[in-house]
Amino acid sequence: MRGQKIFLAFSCLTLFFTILNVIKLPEKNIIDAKFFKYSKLPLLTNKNKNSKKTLDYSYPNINFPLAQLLQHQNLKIVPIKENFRAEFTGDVRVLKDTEIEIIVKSDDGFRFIIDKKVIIQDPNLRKFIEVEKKFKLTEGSHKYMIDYFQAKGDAGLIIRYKAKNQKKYSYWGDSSGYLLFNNGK
Amino acid sequence: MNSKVKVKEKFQISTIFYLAIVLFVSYFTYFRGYEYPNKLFWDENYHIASAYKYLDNTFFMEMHPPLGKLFIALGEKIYHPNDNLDLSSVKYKSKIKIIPKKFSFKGLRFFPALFAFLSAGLFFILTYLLIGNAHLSFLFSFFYLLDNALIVHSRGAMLDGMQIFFILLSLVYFTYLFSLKKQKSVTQYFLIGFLISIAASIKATSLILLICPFFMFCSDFTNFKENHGFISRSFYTELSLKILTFFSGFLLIILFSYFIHYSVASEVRDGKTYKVSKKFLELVETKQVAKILNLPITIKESVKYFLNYQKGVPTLKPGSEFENGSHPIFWPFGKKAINYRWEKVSQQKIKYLMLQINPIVWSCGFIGLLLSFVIFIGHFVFNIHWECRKTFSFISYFFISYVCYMVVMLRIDRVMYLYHYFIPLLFSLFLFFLSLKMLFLNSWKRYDRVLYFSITTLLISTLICYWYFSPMTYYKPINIAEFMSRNWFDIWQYRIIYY
Repeated sequence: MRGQKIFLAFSCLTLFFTILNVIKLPEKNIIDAKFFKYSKLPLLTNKNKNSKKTLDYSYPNINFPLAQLLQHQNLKIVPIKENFRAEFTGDVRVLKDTEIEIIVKSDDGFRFIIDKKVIIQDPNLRKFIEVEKKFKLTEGSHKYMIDYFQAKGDAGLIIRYKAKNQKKYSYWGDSSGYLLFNNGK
Repeated sequence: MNSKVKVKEKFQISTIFYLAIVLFVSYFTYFRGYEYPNKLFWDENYHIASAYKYLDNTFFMEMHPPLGKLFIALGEKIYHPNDNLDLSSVKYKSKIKIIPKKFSFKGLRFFPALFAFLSAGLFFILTYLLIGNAHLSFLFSFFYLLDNALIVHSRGAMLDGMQIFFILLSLVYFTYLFSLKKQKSVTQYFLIGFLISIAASIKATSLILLICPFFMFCSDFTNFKENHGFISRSFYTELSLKILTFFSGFLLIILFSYFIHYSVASEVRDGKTYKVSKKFLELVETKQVAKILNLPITIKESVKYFLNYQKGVPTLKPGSEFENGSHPIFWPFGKKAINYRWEKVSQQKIKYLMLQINPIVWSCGFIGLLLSFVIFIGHFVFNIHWECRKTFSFISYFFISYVCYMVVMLRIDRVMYLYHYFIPLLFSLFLFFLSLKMLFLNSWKRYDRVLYFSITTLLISTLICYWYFSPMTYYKPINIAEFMSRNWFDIWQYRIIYY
């Protein structure tokens, strides 16, 4: 009889596990991404020339560790292998006027834009080394765009931020006490 | 009509009724729309090229035995839907790279899909013969009916669907013979050899069935000893005769299939001689190969080609991102899901055709393996005498077959793929059913509700998983997020798409 109960428990747990996985909603991604494929080196200066839009996708944050391919830490999706440009766009709501410190690691080039103003950029072939910048953000909603390109070889893009009074860095896209992404929805 | 006969009749009617339902469901999961996608996937580019060589009488040699490819060619011969197309990109090729527009797979995939569809019936019959309960056999048949990996692979113009049919047919006959409490006749040995050779003439991995006659010899030995109390010389004489007839039956179809192969594929084209010896080439050109006298050289050349081909197959590269193969040790867990083909239908939606397992079915198979290991060890190490001897014998058969198959796979140097696990998967599923019977024998006999409820719950999970993974089985569009959310375990290693 004990064996039967164990078997019954196993069957019920299997059903529970199955349902849990099937109804699991995809992670809510708040950063929209557009990928453009180029036939040759896709510098950020020659945008849209000879490019072909290949895929729309979305990500929860900007956390693509250095690897042979541009691959998000959690999602493990690489729409294009090489010679491509990506535009990451979204909204951020600032709860209180503050100074933001941003750290960018990117291989290859990038351009970080808020409300059509370039905050920090290095639109060239580069290695995965840190650059940082401090800038002020006023209370309210802002539109941001991260322009990124990858030629050949290793790829990666990590953007972290913290407000002036904060100790820990968060990935761009993860809300913190000062910044709410996707208008805090 | 006495009550015993009435019960028997009712029982048979219910069994036939269940069989009909199983085939009905199988039609929808395995057979319907088998010609879709009308694009090549996985090894179809090789097998279809071979089938067209048969249709054009082109001489060729190939690694796999000929019968499966002859069936594929026969399907095309029956339906011939591509007669009006320009087939220059398909004919006389070793590997097809491009297929003409409007190319139809209706004929080429007909026999693989048909055999896979009919295999469901055999699966039900075999389960019934093993566990002796029509209701539970019916429920267990859904493990075959709803396994996404078996479905997707069997619907292609490939060999595995046909191979599984003849393996199940051989096992049905073996199970029937093994259950008989009397000496097996010489004819029965011949027939089992005959059936096994059909499976082996499709794919060499079917040779694992050669364990069947060994078990039959053991059964004969035990029966003879129980009846006579001793083993006489006549037993050994009869046994020698049985071994001889078994191998006669076994060799018959294998040789016959090669005979047909060389009779049909008889014209050397484009100078493709497949590095055969001069003497053999002469025989081919003069159409003398398909003669009994030339059998030794035919076998020699076929074996030589097989061994050379194996040397050329790459080995597994575990670190490579583009590696589709996987180590046999990981097969029970579904590694690696192979993305057979994909196609972008819009900015968001992509169609995938993927060798993706039904995790519930494969988990049950693995649990069956563990349970049977415990039962097996319990008997031979701890001297536990299990109540149902017949069931224990079947557990021993399937367990030994499973272990032998996997040991051989582990010793092969070339790259192997997840679908090479289909045969041991079937063995492990039968082990699951038999182990449950062994462990819950009393509940089994009195139709215990808890047991039925548990099995039905498992089936509901199986059905949900089948439905959930079905877009990748039937090549239906899903978006990337939906696709990636199906990668439940990292071990499956979903293939990333590049554009």
